[in-house]
Amino acid sequence: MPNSIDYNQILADSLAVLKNNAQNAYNKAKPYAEQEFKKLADDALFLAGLLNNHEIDDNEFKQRLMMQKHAATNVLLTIQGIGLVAAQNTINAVIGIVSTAVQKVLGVVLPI
Amino acid sequence: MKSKIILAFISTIFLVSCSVVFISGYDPVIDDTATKLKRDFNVFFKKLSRAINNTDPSDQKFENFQDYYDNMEVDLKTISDRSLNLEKHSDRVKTEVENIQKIMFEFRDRHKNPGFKDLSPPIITDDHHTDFDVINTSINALLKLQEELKTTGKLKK
Repeated sequence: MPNSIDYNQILADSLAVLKNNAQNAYNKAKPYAEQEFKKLADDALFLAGLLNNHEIDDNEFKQRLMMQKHAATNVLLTIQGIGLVAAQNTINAVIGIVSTAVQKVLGVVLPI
Repeated sequence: MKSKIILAFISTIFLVSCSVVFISGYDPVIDDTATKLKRDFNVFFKKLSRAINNTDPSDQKFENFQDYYDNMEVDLKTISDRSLNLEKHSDRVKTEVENIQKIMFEFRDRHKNPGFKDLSPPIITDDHHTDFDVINTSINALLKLQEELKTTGKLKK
């Protein structure tokens, strides 16, 4: 059993987890956001065309734009959620890394 | 001596802090019902598109799709009720469910009154693909968030 904690190893392991989780979250969120917002922007343009051609009135245009707004809000909430899950997993993983290091030195299992 | 004090300090912090939770809200019933809601809507929309693309304006009448809307309302109520009972840190899931409800009810109400017209380009070009996109986008967002939340709280090393 080692008699001291290897702080450099903890730091290296923690940074590796942080980098990995942040990269994964970015890789998930970026193409998703790009795809959804492009679609919503194209659709808003299409609706404006319908209004210009008098196919829909002002009231319907506003209602359908409101639907777009709700959908965009859902996309943003999900992107936010992806980031929060990544942050949460990173912190919990770092706690796990430190806990394992402490356990090796003290021989005590921490309740996490 | 110094390292033992640091060790004791770290141990104390972990004893009181345990793991952190920033976000939660995974519910298998919400996940499954939202998947069904999306599938049913897409089947319904295919039938509606066929009705709009022919020359009989009575085909796309609201009454012809009453069964679909009844099922839709039941599924929306299921996910809404489930979301109300989610634990702390589930606000994002609740808001997404509320937004899906608003969008789908708005679509239903517009189908009911004034109703949808047959396509006859270049005069009528509204094929309602924006409604299709907006409903799929909002449900997809919820499903993607549910997928992410399945791992919430689990240690990942």
